[in-house]
Amino acid sequence: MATDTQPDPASVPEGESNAGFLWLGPERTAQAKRVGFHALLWSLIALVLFPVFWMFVVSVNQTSFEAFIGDPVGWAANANLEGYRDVWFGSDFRYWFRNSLLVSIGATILSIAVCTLGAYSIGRLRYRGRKAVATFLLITQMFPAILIAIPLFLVFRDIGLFNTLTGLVIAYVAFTLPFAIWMLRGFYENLPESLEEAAMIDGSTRFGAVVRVILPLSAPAIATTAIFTWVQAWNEFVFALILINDSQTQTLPPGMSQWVGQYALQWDMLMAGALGATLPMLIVFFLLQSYIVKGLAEGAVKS
Amino acid sequence: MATRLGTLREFELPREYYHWLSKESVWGWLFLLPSLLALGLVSVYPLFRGIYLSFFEYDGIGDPEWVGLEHYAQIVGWTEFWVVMRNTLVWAFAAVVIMALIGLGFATLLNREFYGRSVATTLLLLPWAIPFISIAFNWRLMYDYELGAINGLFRTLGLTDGIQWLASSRYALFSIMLAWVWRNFPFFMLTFLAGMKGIPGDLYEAARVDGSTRLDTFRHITLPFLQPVAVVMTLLMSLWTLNHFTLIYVMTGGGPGNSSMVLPVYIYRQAFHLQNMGLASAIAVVMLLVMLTYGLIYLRLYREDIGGK
Repeated sequence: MATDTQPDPASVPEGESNAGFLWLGPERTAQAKRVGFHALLWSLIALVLFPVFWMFVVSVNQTSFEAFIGDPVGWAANANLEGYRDVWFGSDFRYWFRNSLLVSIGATILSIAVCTLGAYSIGRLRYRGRKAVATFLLITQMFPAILIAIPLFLVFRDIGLFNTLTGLVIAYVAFTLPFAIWMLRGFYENLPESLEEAAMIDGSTRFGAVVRVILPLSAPAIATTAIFTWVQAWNEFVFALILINDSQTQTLPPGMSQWVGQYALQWDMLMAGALGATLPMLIVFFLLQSYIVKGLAEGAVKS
Repeated sequence: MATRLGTLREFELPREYYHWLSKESVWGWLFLLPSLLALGLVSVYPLFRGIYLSFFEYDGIGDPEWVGLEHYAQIVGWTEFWVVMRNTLVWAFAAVVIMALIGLGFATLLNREFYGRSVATTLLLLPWAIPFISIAFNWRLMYDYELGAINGLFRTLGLTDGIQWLASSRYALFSIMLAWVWRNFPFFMLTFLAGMKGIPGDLYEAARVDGSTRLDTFRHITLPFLQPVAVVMTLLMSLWTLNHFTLIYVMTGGGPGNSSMVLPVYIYRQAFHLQNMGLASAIAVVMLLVMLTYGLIYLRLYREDIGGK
């Protein structure tokens, strides 16, 4: 055991000698660094999460920051759920919530069904033109959404899809596809080559091999892609704003955006709505959090 | 099984087209068909129709009137448009740089072994799990003059009486940018962290033996290893930032004046508030050109990092 007064020079690895603070030995220095590291990291995390905490505080008790600092415990005594009540019963929030759920679930299921095949094709099969398709997918990300949305509005109006959730689902499938394929493709590229060949030697077709061998193996990657699709659909604003006109057919983002002028001073209600809109995403997030981390690491960034 | 393809192969096609009929090619295109169909109908077709529309004067109701390149001529000499264009570029560039740096910082912290690391990662990822509309509301509250925590903190510390963050043309764009950075830095953090985990540890050992400092190893080992990851993320994130609509539309609507106006919000207003669908499309086409130019130059510069196998 080295003591704080007598640093043992031999125990200090080369290149790090004298790395300690003057009055502390190397061991105490390491300890101080560890404490410093934890203090820094956790205060940064607290800083990052503060807006979420503050959103909650205001949603149950419309208070100011100074009042809160002056009496950090007192706000809980006056907490109430009026904001939540106003949101659920006093506005169209419940319709928007339902519509958002329907559209996001529909778009995610359809988009995953379509993108799994596409990603398998680009990531796994060898044929001429697949690189061009992969590049094309990346190029679709360079299309301004608003440039697509204006003509889509005209088309939907002409064919009767304007103001329908079906129309919105169709738009979202196309809008979420490129990134979904791009993400999943990276996963398929990294599977061992021999997997479906073995199944095909046993007499199954390419499609049969994909369904029986590849799909079960890629379930985690598909789950990750589904989360990203879901998040994109739940967040989408421009298409919903343009393609839906009727308040009760609207989804959460454009619906809630109308509140801004209307209820500007009813902050408890605004924050209750904001938290309510977050809930489904939070549930998905905590259930599938490890997939998100792995998926981003393996899929989205794998070159 | 393959007789039909075989027949075609032998009698009807010149040799150089054989590859189109290989089994992998046929299955490949078959599997791609639904995706290409969806993208063609809801992305490519509207894109071309939008470009076509930009040559017309159209209020959304009556008959479109052909005006040729008139809208484009108007755009070139239009001060307001160039202000919005400058805002858009500043917004996208600064936001991506800031979030990449913050992401890199957090990734470096999280790359160490410590108790509670996975909890810390999850907590830092949390802003990503909050929808844009809630983030817009949340940060409007943070910036609120009376209730907001930012002015509250400044008043508690006795610094100022408060700043009109969103209502002043000086701070509005920057304030929204902070909210956008807050939401997206976890993206960079996670991808950088994944990249760092892939770096072999003995590289650092060897560098240490050679007497490199921490800064040296960071510059010559960590950063080069992160490049492929960073390249794809930066490209996608800048395109998403250029395209982003919700935060700006909800937090300031582009104001005060046009001080926080960016192209997507501007185009939306032209098309659906001022009923200038043709002019809006023309501006959107200019935006398309900017994004394509940026994206394609980027793809060309970093082809090897993006290319895939």
